[in-house]
Amino acid sequence: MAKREREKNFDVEIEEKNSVKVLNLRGYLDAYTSLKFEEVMKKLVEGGSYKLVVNMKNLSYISSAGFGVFMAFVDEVRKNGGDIKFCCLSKKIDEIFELLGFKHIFSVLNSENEAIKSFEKVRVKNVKGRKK
Amino acid sequence: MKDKNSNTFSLGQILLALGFAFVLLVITLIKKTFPFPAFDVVSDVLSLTLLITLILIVQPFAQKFEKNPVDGIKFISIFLFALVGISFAFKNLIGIQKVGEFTTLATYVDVISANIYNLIYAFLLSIVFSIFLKILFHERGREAKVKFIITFSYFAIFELSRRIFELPNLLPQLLGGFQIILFMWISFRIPWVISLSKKDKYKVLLFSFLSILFSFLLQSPFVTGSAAEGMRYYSDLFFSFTHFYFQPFLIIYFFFVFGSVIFHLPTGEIYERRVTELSTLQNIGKLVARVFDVKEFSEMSVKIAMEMTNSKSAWVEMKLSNSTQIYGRYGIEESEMLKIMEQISHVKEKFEGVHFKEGYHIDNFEGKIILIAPLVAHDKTLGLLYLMRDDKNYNQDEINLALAFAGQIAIGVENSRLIQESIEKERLAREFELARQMQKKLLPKSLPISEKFEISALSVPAFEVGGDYYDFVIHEDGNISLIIADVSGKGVSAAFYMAEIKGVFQSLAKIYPKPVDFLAKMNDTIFEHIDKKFFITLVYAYFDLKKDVVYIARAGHLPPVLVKRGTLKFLKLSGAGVGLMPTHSFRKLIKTLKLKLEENDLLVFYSDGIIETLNEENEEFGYERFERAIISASDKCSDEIVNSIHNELTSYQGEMQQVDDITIVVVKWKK
Repeated sequence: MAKREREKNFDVEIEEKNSVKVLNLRGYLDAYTSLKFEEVMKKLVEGGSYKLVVNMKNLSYISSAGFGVFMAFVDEVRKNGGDIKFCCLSKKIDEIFELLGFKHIFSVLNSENEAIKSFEKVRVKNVKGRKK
Repeated sequence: MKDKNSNTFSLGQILLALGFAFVLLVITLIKKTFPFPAFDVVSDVLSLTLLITLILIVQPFAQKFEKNPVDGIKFISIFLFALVGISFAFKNLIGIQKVGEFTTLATYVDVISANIYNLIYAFLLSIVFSIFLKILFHERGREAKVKFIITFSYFAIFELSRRIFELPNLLPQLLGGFQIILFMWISFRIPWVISLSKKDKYKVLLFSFLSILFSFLLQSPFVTGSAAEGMRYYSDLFFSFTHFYFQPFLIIYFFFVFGSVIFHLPTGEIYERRVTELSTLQNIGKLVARVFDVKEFSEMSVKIAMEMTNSKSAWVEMKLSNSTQIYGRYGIEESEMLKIMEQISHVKEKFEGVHFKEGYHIDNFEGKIILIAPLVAHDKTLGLLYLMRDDKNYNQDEINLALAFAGQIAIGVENSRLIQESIEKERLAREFELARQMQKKLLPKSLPISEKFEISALSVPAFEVGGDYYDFVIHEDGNISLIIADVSGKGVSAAFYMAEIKGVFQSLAKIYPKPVDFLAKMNDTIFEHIDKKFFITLVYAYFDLKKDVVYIARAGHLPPVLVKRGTLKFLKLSGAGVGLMPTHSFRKLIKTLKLKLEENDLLVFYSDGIIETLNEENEEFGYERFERAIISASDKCSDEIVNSIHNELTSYQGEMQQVDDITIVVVKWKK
């Protein structure tokens, strides 16, 4: 049981890279831990961070409530010119993304750097767009 | 009856004692006429027996002083005074005469008075002796009892040898002197004196002094005079016991008591303070059990802590789940308090961390002394107690006291938190129970019966209710729509959304039986009409019974299983969860599978609870085991297939708790 308890923990680490906030998720994102994660996201978004990369390398489980957290913020983030992008999914989580149709809503990238860079491209594009 | 006997004097024993007294009277009267030494021995033995009987009689009374030496000494001095009184009275009632070198009683009347005197004397003495033993052994172990037996045996041997042998000069004095040393040896330690209150100490001083005084008077011929001679006539042994053993013992013991009290008198105040402190702490302990409100409890405790540590101001800083609160601010302005806390905020780090167990901090602030004690419970620092006063440094006692108070407050806070938690748990358990009831009511009570197919379903809710749902609609033309869905979230909210889905399914499926139309309409009702976080995954199947065809679409849910001619396939159809995106995008993703059904074709719909079931090694049941379970049961009827998969699952799960709902719906085509 001890093992299970440990697995049920959830933790987020936030780093800032090139004005992109990288969220390293770790552990078990279920109906309970998603409440905590929602608080974290809320603080970030309310604090004006709209460019978010979610690194799921160390995430062992995600439930529908966990996905719900991203759904709750994606509109506001996009409205403010940002986005939520995912990277480094495990095979299992990648499959859930696929089944759920999440890949049609969010962009999923292979590495953290790619995800961060993809924001730069958007910026360049935007700049160009404005010049036009 | 037994109880009564132990608390009152026993009538039988009293009659026995009176019997002994009567025999003694007779003997002493005979002795008057025939003074044979044999009678002396008999009267000695009888008086000894009488004394022992009396001691047994007064035991219930002496018992009252078992743990109360102060009252014991008081009563000893009272009874000693009575002894002095009767000795003084009988001094003039007993006439003596000298016959040669022996002193004896003058008349028979004198003998009778001597008997009365001795009986009263023996009775009072037995009380004094019994109480004295209680005091002597109070708070002392076997050691005191052993020493007592030694002194008494010494006395017995000394007496015996004095009678049998002619002891040479000075030896009796020497042996008597040694007896005194033995008394000192036994009286040396008087542990109960230290813990007395000041008032009790003064009492003990007075009564032990009186006891010494009365004992001396009883020894003195000026007081007892011929009464003592009467006693000697009555029983020489009794005389020796009182005059050479017991009274000296009393004098020496009470002398030690007196000295010991004098010696410990200054500690009385400190001790009394300790007692107050302890009782205050105990009161806080009681408070802990009674007051669940953290604020109220801490305010009361802080005030008491401030008073007990002689502080001028006090407050407590409490770390709650997401904020810090100040409770019980006394004797200080808020602005000043905040200033001080800001100034010494660095101190807090000292009390943080897992490894912190104990300690305190003393600081100065503009000439004031601040004592900070952490509130530690279960190895966690829950907050800090601040005590402050103007000049004098806190001494170690006050610091210890502050720490003790802080500990008590911490326990109180922790208790109240645990209680709140258990109330919350209880509430959740009730909520989940309600959710399970709702879910049960939302699931269909019976399944459709058709000659075309068998259908069986099983849904086992998890404790928390995961939001699994299945249902069907029978259309007017006899065709059937089946849905299996998983609503995001848990508990009552999941059950609530399930109810919503049931309404949507039952109404929409009848109008739009084809999967894409149905799902698109459903997405319309859900997307942007319910909480953004909320979405549903589902599989929808529309069975056309006349054509033996099923139309299946998957909206984000786990792919259903098809077993056709012994081959198993997961139907990974394109699709996305309902409520995730606008309908125009959603509709494009949904692909319907049209499937011709033949005899023995098997369709298995299920929820993720099955795949994610964990065994004791924390491994998921997974798709492969699920596949094998289906294949191995695929020849059976639909009921047995469901049961067989469920059995497989429960045996895999073992002792692990089921965390998510488990739902299986099996459809087996007949022809």
